[in-house]
Amino acid sequence: MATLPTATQISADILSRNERADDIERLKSMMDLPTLAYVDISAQMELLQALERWPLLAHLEARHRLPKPAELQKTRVDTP
Amino acid sequence: MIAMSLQGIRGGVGTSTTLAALSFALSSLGQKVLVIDMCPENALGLHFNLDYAPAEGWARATLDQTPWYEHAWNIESGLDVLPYGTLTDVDVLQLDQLLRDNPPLWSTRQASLAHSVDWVLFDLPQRLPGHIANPRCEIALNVLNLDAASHVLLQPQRNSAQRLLVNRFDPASQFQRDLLLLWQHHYAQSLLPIHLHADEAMAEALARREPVGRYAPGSLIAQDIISLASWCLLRGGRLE
Amino acid sequence: MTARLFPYTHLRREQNCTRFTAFILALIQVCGWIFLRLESPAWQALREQHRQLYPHLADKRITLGDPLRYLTQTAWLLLVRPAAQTLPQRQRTRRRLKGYLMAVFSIVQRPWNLLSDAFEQLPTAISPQVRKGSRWWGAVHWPMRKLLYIAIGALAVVLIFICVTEPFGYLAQLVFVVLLWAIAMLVRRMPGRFPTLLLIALSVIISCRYLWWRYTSTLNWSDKLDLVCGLILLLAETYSWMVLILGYVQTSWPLNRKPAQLPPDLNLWPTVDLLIPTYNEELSVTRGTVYAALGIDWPKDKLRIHLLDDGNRASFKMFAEEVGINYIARTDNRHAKAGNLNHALTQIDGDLVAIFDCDHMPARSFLQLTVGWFLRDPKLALVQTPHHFLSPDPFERNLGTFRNRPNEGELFYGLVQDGNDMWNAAFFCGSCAIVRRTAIDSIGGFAVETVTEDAHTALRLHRNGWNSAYLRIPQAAGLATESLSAHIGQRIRWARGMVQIFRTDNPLLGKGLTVFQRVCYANAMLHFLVGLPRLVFLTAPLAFLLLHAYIIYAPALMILLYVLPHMIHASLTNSRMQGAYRQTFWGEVYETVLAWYIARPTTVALFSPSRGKFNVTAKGGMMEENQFDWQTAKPYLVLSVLNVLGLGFAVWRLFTGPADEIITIIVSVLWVIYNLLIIGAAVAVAAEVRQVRHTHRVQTRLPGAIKLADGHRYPCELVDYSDGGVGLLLNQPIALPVGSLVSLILQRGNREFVFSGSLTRSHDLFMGLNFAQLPAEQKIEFVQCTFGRADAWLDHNSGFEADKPVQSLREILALGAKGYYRLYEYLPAWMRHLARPLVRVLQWLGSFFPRMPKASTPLISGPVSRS
Repeated sequence: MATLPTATQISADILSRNERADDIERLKSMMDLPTLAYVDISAQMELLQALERWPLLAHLEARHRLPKPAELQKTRVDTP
Repeated sequence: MIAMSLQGIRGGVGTSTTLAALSFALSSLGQKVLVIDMCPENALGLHFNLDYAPAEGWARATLDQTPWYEHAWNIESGLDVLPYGTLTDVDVLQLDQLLRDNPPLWSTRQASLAHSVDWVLFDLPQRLPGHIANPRCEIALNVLNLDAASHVLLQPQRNSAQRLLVNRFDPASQFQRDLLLLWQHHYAQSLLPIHLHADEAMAEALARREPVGRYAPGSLIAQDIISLASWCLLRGGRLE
Repeated sequence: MTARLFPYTHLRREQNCTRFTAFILALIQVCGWIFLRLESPAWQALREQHRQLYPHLADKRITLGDPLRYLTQTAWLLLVRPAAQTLPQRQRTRRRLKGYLMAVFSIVQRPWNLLSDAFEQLPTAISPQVRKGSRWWGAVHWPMRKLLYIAIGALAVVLIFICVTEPFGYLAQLVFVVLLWAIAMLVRRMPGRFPTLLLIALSVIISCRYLWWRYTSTLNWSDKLDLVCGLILLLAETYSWMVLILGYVQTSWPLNRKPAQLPPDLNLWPTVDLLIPTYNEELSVTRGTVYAALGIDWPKDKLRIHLLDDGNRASFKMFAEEVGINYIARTDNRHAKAGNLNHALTQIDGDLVAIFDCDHMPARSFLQLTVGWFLRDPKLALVQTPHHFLSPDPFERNLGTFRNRPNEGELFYGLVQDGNDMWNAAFFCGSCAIVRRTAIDSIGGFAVETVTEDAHTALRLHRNGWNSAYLRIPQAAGLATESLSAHIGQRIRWARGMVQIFRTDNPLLGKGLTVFQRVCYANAMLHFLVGLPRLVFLTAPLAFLLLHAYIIYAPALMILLYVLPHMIHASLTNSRMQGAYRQTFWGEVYETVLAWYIARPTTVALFSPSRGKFNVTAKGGMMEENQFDWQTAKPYLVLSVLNVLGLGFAVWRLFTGPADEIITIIVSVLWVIYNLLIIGAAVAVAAEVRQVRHTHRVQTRLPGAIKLADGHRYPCELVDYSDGGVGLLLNQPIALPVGSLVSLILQRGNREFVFSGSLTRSHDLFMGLNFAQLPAEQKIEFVQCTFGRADAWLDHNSGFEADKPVQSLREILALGAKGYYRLYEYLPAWMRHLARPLVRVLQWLGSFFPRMPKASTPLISGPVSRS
């Protein structure tokens, strides 16, 4: 959810606005911790629950991908 | 000049509406934008208060070997729309063959536009490989909805050059949230950081024959689109 | 026309003036019309700005004193008028005047600026030489280097000794202090830590010199009264000096530790038991903490949350079962919180133990930021994070300084702990901390012998060779104490506990501590002995005024030459070191409020440390209405009465005393007035301001969006939140009836959450939503999207104003005056009746005082017709 104060105001750093809503990004920038590798456990948990909740997702997961998301360490990869 | 294409992963995900809104947003940010309808349905103009399915367009002109650029409509300063034109099904297939036989056709046309416009946006059709492959685009967006159908279509080895743009995201839906989480996990590199929210204003905008940025500038979707346009500018600035 | 020239009837009818007043004023006006060209555009323009330029006179009933008020205000305006409002002509004269002034000023200013700029450039200018020098230094052999170190050190000690002990006459002392002051003013602007150390050195020299002088040449050994009073003051000053010097050592080099990265393999992360001790707090307060704890990003099988209920309450047990956390109760409640924790330790087996008071909501990133250090340093026993408060403490609430001034705790958590960390002496503060299980077992559990179990536990850990760490990232927030009396109660407990430790387990003695750890602990404990010395300072000038005791047996001028530099250097240095965490002079107010109350318990604890009971700090209540805490303020009222009495004596002495005492009297009077105003500020704190809300609203600026029932969505900004609702700011006004269903979309990390609430308020762009009806699961998510955000408390200091010592002093003094006015407002009716004439006179005199003109905003409110 990215919002601009006004429609005409263009900011070159839209990602910094995303960071404003993203608490971890803000933590990194405000505390000067650019290299902090944060593991969003709550998102991982939610992902596991999602696969339990929706059999279709689990089915397609099993079919197309061998490593399960839970075994991958990093869920949050920040897109440039 | 940056060429950019939008293609739905399937029909009905809101590609044309998004494209219209994005073009309006880019032009309101001071960019000169040309929107090109690549779909034989020939309906993109509706978003800009043009006639439904105009007879003349670049497709017709290309087949007739007349100047293609004469059929563009100026919507407002810095925003032009080039319709497809009315073609029979046979004509469409013929044109597709022509586009496949002549791959640099649109690249040369794009090159000729380089000095007059900043952005060329292509509204790509679902099938018709010639239409889809012919334009050379620096940014290619694949528009999806957070539903099972999109997820299934996304499963096979997808075209990795295309970036994924989520449209009509409703965070109140448990399944949509879950699916987005899954996509964020799997397609972290190609998923855009901006998701377009579901918003009644988007549906109403077409009914009012206006881009959403003009119809409801204060709506969430208009803000999302502005963010998307800013992202495009940032991305375009890096590419150039 | 006549009415305009001679508005006698207008004044009589409209303003109800007496005949005489109306006549005089009308006469003045007619003179104005005759001798000044009031109809000219320049005068007209001035008349149009009447309301801005003369704000206190605009809506006032016209009286006889008004011409004088206009005169004083006009004179004032000529001095301070904002540039935007001036007329061209005036502006020119003003600019010319300013030019002259600047020219005169620049004779001094220019070389000063050149010099200070040169000082600022110094680090870059001499860096090649410095580099060369350090290379040479590095090449020198160690014995040689050692020798040089000793030689330089010895030389410095000798020089400092001379600076401190050499007796000076007036002129020599003046030159000496001006030189040192000039150096301090020059290096003050230089960035970096070296100038700070230099400022410290200057301040230490000046202060030591002052104290030396006080001990050697200001005691009157021949008069018993003089000697006793003088010695008492001198002891108090010695205490202050000691705290000052120890404080410099403690905070000279704050560590600013960064979090240590955890290994990427989650299996290597340690198991954590998170304890939430409660005793008598309400469940509603505890809920938020549990919800936030559930949101901490740590592998679920490695994080166990335990609710430790010392009150053995069924509702707590039910709640714990509901949300699926462990519930631990015990049959007795011996040793209060420490006992509660120790009891829990018998039932848990994790590698680490995190402790949160039941009103401290942890942020989700708490463990990932803190645990890394335990893996990096196997001897690390403790990581402490700041206690941040989301509600105003009594000082902030009653003085209106919430979010714009650093609060009382800011100095400790912003600077002192960071300074302690440098010396491996960061303390355990009882909450928002995480300790290593093996470490706590090695010292036999949390210390139960004193009422401040936290500091004592940390001391034991340090004694046993464990390390501690402090991470200055606010990762939890709680409620501040509600009322002044509760706040004071809490501080009394701390003070008593710290002094108990000082007596029973003195950090200066015993084994296992480094020198600097001893210094840090000693200073923390000495800090709480401030009560008596502060009371001495508040009454010291009375010794002379009332009892005619020469407490400082020296010429008044000499006293000033010694004491002023001492205070100025201490202020300058502290302003540089602590300015961001405590503004100059605010410490005086904090100390003054506590002084009386901690004086007795600390003194008692100092002599019999085993006495004293444990009292729990009550939180989560609310001040129902404006009230004055007479009980708390009583000692300060007595002190202020004494000081006022001192002023009376001063007047008497001025007229009857010998002529050579006049300067001494004046100095004493200034001191008394300063004391009176500081006491006034303390009294202002006792005037409790009513709290409007039951739940505390946290101000924020978070992007969000709302969704209406008809499918439309609008972006918004979250401006405040509490556990039951939020306030939003929209980009465009949306008219909706109260009670409409509105959903709020919030983002946390890269996930979005939706909360459906109902509209409670809607005004222009502002919208208030209520989330009382959220299902339990959503309540947890809501807390995690707001209070539990990793960034929730990071910018709490963004509203702080920069510390300017002089301005700060002015504010404190104004606050003191306000304190007395508040006191008057709360007086019982009969007393107010008695005091009213005095207040009236003061108000009347004050009405002649010029005001700051209002900013030249377009007029919106106020009658336009009146001219």
